Parts: sequence; structure tokens; C-alpha cells
Amino acid sequence: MKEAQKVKISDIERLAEASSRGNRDAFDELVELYQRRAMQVALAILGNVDEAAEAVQAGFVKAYMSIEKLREPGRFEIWLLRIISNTAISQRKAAWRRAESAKVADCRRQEKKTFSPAQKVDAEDLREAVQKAMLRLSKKEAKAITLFGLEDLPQKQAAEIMGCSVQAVRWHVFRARQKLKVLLRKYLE
Amino acid sequence: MNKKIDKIDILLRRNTTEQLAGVDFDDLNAAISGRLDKAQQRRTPATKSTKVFKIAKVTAAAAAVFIIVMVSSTEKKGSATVAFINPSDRAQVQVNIADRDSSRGKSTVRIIDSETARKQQDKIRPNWFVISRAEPESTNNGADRDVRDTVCLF
Repeated sequence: MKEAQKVKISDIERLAEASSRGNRDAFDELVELYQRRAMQVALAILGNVDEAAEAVQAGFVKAYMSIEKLREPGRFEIWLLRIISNTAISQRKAAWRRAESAKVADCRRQEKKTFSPAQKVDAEDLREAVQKAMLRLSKKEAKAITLFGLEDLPQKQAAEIMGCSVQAVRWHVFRARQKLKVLLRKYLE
Repeated sequence: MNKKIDKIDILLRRNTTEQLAGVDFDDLNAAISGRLDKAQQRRTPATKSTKVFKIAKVTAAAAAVFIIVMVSSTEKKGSATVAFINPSDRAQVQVNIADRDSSRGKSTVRIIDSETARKQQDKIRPNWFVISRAEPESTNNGADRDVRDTVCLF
């Protein structure tokens, strides 16, 4: 699988330009290059693979439908990650409701089968706790901490994706960390 | 500008990395492709229908303008009651009947006495009014005359 980080910016620009002219193959290449990155963002915001995959699919469709409006093909990544993060953020509450109802249904099934509740694996426990904690953050805080968490995304780009200053991103990250430290203190010890 | 990594960042990163490891990107790619195919199919007829809708909108607007022009150029039949009270006041009523067909646009004009007018119309005090109509083609007296015959009532 190819990844955007290993491809020249000029190549991405060329693909984005071709996509904006309606070239579907070029857009498919961009999907292949950015799907991992997009998944990383959506997953960090939603904390659930299925929900994140849904957000990524919806995000790519939105991007495809509006790529002709992309004025600067060289800034495709920023533009795409903005779409993906916004899609994931808007899906946050619905995703949580679905997860909760699935959990209730799961519990009922287990009660019926008179199984003793299986001990949750650490990772699953953490996943659930993170998902819950992320929902307690404001939209901007969730976005900021997610984008900040992307290893090779400079702060300046994170600020551009969020449409605010680097200082504002840092402030949101600071606030998010403070909240998450309280909410996830069990996992930090 | 370097990012200062906090232990909470490491925890979040760990959580994402662990989940990301279980993602089948070929499946995801296929799913995105499928969604894009559907979106593409939707977009093409949508573009066509948008065009059709635009044409329909322009046609409807043109038809509406045409109807408005037709209606406004057609004389309405009706009646006018005119109070004739104080001859020193300015003209306040003018009725134009501009139509080729003299039978259309006929108005009934009733002159009422001052007292009745005061009761009925209170402050309306015209001292004269003009009724004009288009000159019928049969009585066209030439280019040096006005296109309308004017009847002034005092």
C-alpha cells in the first residue's frame, strides 16, 4: 500500500489537479495514498474502527463530490483532512449512541446465555475509555488533540486544517490534555 | 516547531495504533471505491436533472413575465365614483382607458353632491378629472393629432 508521506508533493498536486478535472483514476490513487492518514484521524476522533471507516468513506465521497472547488491542488492534504475531521466530528454523537445501544444489546445477550461477563482485554477497555473521554471534549479540543497527535503533521498544518492560529491549536491541545488526564487517569498510572 | 509530547499523547497514539493495526485497508479501499461509484452514478443524472430544472425554471420565469405583461396591458372593467367638491383644489383623479376596443374599459362615473361626498370620502376633494382612451383606428385623424382623444369633465 502506497502512502502519501512517501510520494512527492508535486505528484499529489498533479493527481489532485487531474481529479478536479474529473479524472476518477487520479482520485482513486489519492484515496489509496491518503486512506491510512484519513483513518488515523477518524479513528482518533471516534475511537471505533467501524465508525471511523464510515466517516472515512463518507469523507472521501464528500471530497470527490467537491474536488472541482479545490483551488490549490498543492494543499490537497490539508483540504482532505479538514473534510475527514469534520465528518468524524459530526458523526461523534451518533457513533456513541450506536456504540452504547450495541453494548446494551450485547449485555442482554450475555445475560440470556447466562455467561459470566468475560474479562475485558486491556486494549478494548482503553478503547472504550478513550472513546468516552473524547466525547467529553469540545469539537475543537477533539480536533486539536487528534491532529496534534499525527506524528508528521506540523503544527502549522494542523492550524490550517482547523482554520485557526497555531496558538489557538496549542490552547485547545492544552485544554484537551487537561480534561483527558482526569478522565483517563486510570490508564496513565 | 517541535511538538512537546505528553504522556496522554502517547496513550492516545497507542490506542489509535492498536486499532489501526486491525484495519484491512484493501477492504476499506474497496468500500470507498464502491461508495465513489455510487456517488458518480448519482452525480451524472443529478447534473442532467439540474440542467433540466434550470431550463424549466427559466421557462417558467419567462412565462410568468409574459403573463404579467399580458395581464397588465389588458384593461380592467370597473367603475369610478368621483367626488366633485372644491373647484380650487388640485386634480386628484385621472382615469385612463387605453384600449383599441372601446367597449372594454367602460367606467361608470357618477357625480355626487358635496354633502354625500363629504360623508363618503371625507378628505378626498378632487376638482377635476380626465378620462382618456386610445383613438380607434377607424377615426385616426392623422399624425398631427395626439393618439388619444381626451375628454375633460369639469
